[in-house]
Amino acid sequence: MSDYSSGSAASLGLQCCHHCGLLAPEAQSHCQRCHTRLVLRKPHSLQRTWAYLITAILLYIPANLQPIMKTQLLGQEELSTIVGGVLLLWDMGSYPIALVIFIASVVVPMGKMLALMWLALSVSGRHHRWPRQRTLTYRLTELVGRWSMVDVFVVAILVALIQLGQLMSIYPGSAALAFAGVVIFTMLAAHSFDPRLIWDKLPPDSSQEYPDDPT
Amino acid sequence: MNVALMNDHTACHSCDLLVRLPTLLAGEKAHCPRCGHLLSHQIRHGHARSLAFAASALLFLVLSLQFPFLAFEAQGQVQQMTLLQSASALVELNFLPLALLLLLFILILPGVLLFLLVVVLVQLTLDEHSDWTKRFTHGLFAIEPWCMVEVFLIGVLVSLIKISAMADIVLGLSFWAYILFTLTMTAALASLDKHYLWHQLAGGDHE
Repeated sequence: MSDYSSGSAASLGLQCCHHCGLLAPEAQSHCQRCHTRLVLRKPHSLQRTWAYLITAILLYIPANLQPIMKTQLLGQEELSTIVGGVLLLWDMGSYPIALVIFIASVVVPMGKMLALMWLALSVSGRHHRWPRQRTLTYRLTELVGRWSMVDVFVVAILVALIQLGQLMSIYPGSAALAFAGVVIFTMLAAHSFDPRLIWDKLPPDSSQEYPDDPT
Repeated sequence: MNVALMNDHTACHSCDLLVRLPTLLAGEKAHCPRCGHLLSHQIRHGHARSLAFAASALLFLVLSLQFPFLAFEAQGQVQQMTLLQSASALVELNFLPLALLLLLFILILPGVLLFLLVVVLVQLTLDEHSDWTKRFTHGLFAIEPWCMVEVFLIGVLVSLIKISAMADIVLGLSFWAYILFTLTMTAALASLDKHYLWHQLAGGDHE
């Protein structure tokens, strides 16, 4: 019995170059077309995903507790956290902007980390349901990852623009770097995860709903 | 496994299903029948279009570095910034890592990607591609996820709204150049099909 789902290239002794998509026999070490080192599945995919994911989760704590920005207005200092900034915008009546920042800085990173945890747990356990939905979830986490960087960029622009000494100045807070780290490490975690693992463990009967010989 | 099968089949990157890719007409897309992943999409004159957009994007990128990006006026004081100053201000405040990330994500990596893309597509058009072309192609697809040009643009718009209440904002020439850079770069990448590009690159040295 093969370790791979029926109809997959791996079950037929073939591997696919992840760069250029050319097929090669399992034993071949490098892609004939683009000379990439060939691997059947991303090496140590789950360990790497978990390592990056845990780093991101740990960084997420200071990213939310520490101030992301320090505003100095007429000698008065005000520290603001990510969530504080969203609430401030909401109070000012800028609902669309508050929503953009809330989605980019709270919903997306949280959703991404939860989604990756679910995916990583589901492929290490005996979870066979919703392979298509899980693959879609994976692709979404890959797609939206970069967008969380918005808040960090906002801080960078405000800091560069508003430097009027005592009158009004804005300084970055340590959370800005921690949050950039969260975004980078969740991106690395998503990058290390191999979505083909979702399909590898499927029992033969569940693959039967899909055509074996697609043309 | 026979060679014919290996040349006209590919495996889905998302679920590893073995599929035979049909020859696509302009405007057609091929999705994996099992997981729905986009395998290839054929765009009319895709490479020529991508090359044109990438070259213009490079030009706009250079332009966006030359002029003031934003200026802001509050109680008689005016402060102006260029795109590069957004990073140098962070360096002065001892936030060097953040400044480096900013430069990498919004200027350096997009610039390198566009340069590689132009080189690869020019070599392909002239039919003079070599092993270096393949290396460049690897590089540009590896860089792609780390380009955050459009994310930065949204960040700029959010900052504008945040400070428009307390000061007058003047949009500089570089601001408009950066918008055009974002649009052309997005268009250059959208016209590019990885599968088709590799297929073309293989054409030269295949027997």
